[in-house]
Amino acid sequence: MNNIPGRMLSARSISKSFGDVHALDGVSIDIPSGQSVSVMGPSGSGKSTLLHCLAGILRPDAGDVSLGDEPISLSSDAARSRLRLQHMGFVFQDGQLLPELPALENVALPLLLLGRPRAEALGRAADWLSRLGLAGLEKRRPGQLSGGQEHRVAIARAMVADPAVVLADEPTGALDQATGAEVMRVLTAATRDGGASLVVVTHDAGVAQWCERHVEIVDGRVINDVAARWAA
Amino acid sequence: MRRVTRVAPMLLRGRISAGQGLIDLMTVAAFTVSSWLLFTVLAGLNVFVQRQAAPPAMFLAAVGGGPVDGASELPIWTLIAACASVLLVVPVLTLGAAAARMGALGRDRRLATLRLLGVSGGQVVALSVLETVLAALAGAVVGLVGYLVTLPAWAAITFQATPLSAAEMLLPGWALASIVGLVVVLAAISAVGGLMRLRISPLGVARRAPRPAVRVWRFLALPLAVVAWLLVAPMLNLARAFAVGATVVLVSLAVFMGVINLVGPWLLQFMGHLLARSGRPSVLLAGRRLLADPKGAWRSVSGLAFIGFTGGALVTIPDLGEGAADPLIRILADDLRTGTYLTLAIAFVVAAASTLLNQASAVLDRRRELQQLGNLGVPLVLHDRTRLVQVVAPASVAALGSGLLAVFFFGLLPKVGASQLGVIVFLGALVAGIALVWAAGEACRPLVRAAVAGTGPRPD
Repeated sequence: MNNIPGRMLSARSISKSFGDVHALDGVSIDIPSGQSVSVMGPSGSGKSTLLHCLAGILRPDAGDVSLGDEPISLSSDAARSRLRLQHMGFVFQDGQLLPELPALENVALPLLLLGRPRAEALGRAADWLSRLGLAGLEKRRPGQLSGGQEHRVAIARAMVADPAVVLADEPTGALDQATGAEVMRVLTAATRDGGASLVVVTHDAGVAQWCERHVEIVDGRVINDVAARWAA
Repeated sequence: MRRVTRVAPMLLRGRISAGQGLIDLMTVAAFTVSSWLLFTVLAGLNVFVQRQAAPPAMFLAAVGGGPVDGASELPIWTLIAACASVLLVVPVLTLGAAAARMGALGRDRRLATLRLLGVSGGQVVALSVLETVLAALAGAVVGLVGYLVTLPAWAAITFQATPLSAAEMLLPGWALASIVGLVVVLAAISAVGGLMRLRISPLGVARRAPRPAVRVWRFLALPLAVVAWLLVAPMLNLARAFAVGATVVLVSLAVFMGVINLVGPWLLQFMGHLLARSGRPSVLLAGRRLLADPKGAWRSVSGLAFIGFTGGALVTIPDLGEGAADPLIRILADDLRTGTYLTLAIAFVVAAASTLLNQASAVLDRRRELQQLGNLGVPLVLHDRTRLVQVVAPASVAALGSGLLAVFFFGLLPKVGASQLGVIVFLGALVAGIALVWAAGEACRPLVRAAVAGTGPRPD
C-alpha cells in the first residue's frame, strides 16, 4: 500500500558534523524504487550517519533528503517519525526487537501503531513469519530465539507494513558467516518480492555482494558508486 | 496518540508475562514506601497542629503542677515536628523521584525502538509518563492502604504524655487525595526528566547522549547559604516572636535541604576526579562511574545525607529532662528522644530503600557492560571492590558533610547547646547508615553475578 512505484529516496549534497568531526561532506545519492544498494566504508567513514540521515533519524546540517515528493530533512520530528512509520522498515545489528513481546506481536507492532485492527495486524504478522520460515515460533520471545531467527523476525517487522524502503545497519554484524549469508538472502528476497528499496550499511564485502549497487564512502564522501557485476 | 496508547496494555502484559516485571515491581514498591512514609509523616505533623488547637487533657493534667501554662508551650512541639517533617519529606520525595527514573530507565531501550519504528518523541514520552503515572498511582494506593492498616499501631507511641490515637493520625480525605495527587504529579515530572535524553534520537540507547558535567555554581550555593544563615540566625527571637521566628527557621531548613541536594552531586563529581587518577582498577572504575553520573550517584546516597543531617541536629539539642523538676521539661525531653528515634528510623528506611533501588537500577542499567567485562575475563571480585568504593566513599561524604552542616545550622539557633548523648547518637547513626548503604549495595551482588553469567554466546 505504501510502496508507491517511482518513489525515489534522494539525498542532495548533504553534510553532517558532530562537533569538529565532519561525518558527511556533500553526499548525493539517488535510490530508485526497488533497488538494493550497499553502502560500504571503513569504520568512521560516515556510512551509518548517511543511513540515519536517509531515515530522518538525523537531520543533515546542509542539503536535502526526500522520499518521492516528501521532503524528509525539512520536516518536523513528528513528521519524520510518521514517515518512518508509514514508509520505512529497519533491520539493525542487534535486531532492536522488544524483549517483552513474542515474535508475533513484535512483527505486528508497526501495523498496530498505524491503527490497523488487532486481528488484521496479527494475521499479517503471522503470514510474514511463515514466509520467512518462522512458522511455529510466533509465541517465542527474542531471548528464546537464535540470532538468525531474531534477525528474520526483524526483517518480517520491517516488511509487514509494505514499506517503500528498508534500511539495514550492519544487519549481520553479530552473526557468524553462514547465518549472516542466510539473513542477507532472506532480506534481499523479501524486499525484492515486496518491491521495496533496500539500503544496507556494512563493512563486509560478502554482505555487500547481495546488493545490485555498491556505494563506497571514505571520510564522508562518496568515492565509488557502481552497479554490481552480476546485476549489470 | 490514541494509536500509541493502544499498544501500552500489550507492552505491559508482555513485560509481566516475560518475567521482566522486576523493575516495575521495584518501582511500585518504592512508590509504596515513599507514599506510606509521606502519609505518616504529614499525619504526625497534623497531630501536633490539632493538639495545639485543642490541648489533650492528659497533657494538661501532667503539667498541671508546673510553673508555666502547658498549653502555651505547645507550639514548640509543632515547630520541632515541622522541622522533622521538612527533614523527612525531602528524602521521601527524592525516593519517589528515583522510583520514577528507575521506571523510565527500565523502558528506555524499548522506547528507543518505538522511536525508530516511527513513534514521535512526544508520543514516546507520553507513553512512558502514562506507565510511570500508573505505577505511582498503584504505589500510592498500596501505600495509603498500608498507612490506614497501621494506624492503630501508633497507639504504642506517646507524645505530650498522651498516646497517639488512630483517629488523630487519620488525615482528612482531601489531604489523602492531595498526597496521592502529589506523588503522581512528581512521578510524572521525574519521568519526563529521565526521558529527556531519549527525545534527542530514536537511536536512544545505541547513541546515548553523555550527561553534561555538574556546574560549579552548585557548590557556590553552600557558602551563600552559610553566610545568609550567619546573618539571619542571630536576629531570631523565638521567645518574643515565635510565629515569625518559627517560619524563618522552617524556610531556612528547607533551603539548607535544597542546598545539600545542589552541592552533593558536585562534591561527588569532584571526588570522582580524584578517584579517577588512581592506578587501581576498582578505584579508577568507581571514579569514572561517579564522573559519568554524579547526580545518579547522589540519588543513591541522598537518603544517608539526611540521616547525617538529622544526626547532626541531635548534637545541638541539649540534654534535658534528667532530674528536671518541671514536668513540662521532662515531657519535652522524653518527646525529643522519641521523636528523634522515630525520625532516624524513618530516615533509615528511606536510605535503605533509596540505596537498594539505585544500586539495583545501576546494575540493570549496566547489564550489557557487565556481560562484556565478563567476556573479557574480568574477575567478579573487581565488581565487588568497585561497588564498595563507589557506594561507601560517596555515602561517607554525604553523611559526614550533611552532619557537619546540621551542627552549624542548629548550633546557631537560640537556646541550644551541645549534647553528649546527641554526639553518641550522631556517630552511631553515621556508622549504622554507612553500614546500611554498604549492605544494600552487597544485596545487589546476586544481580551482578546473574548479569555477568549471562555472557555465553547465543545458540544458533
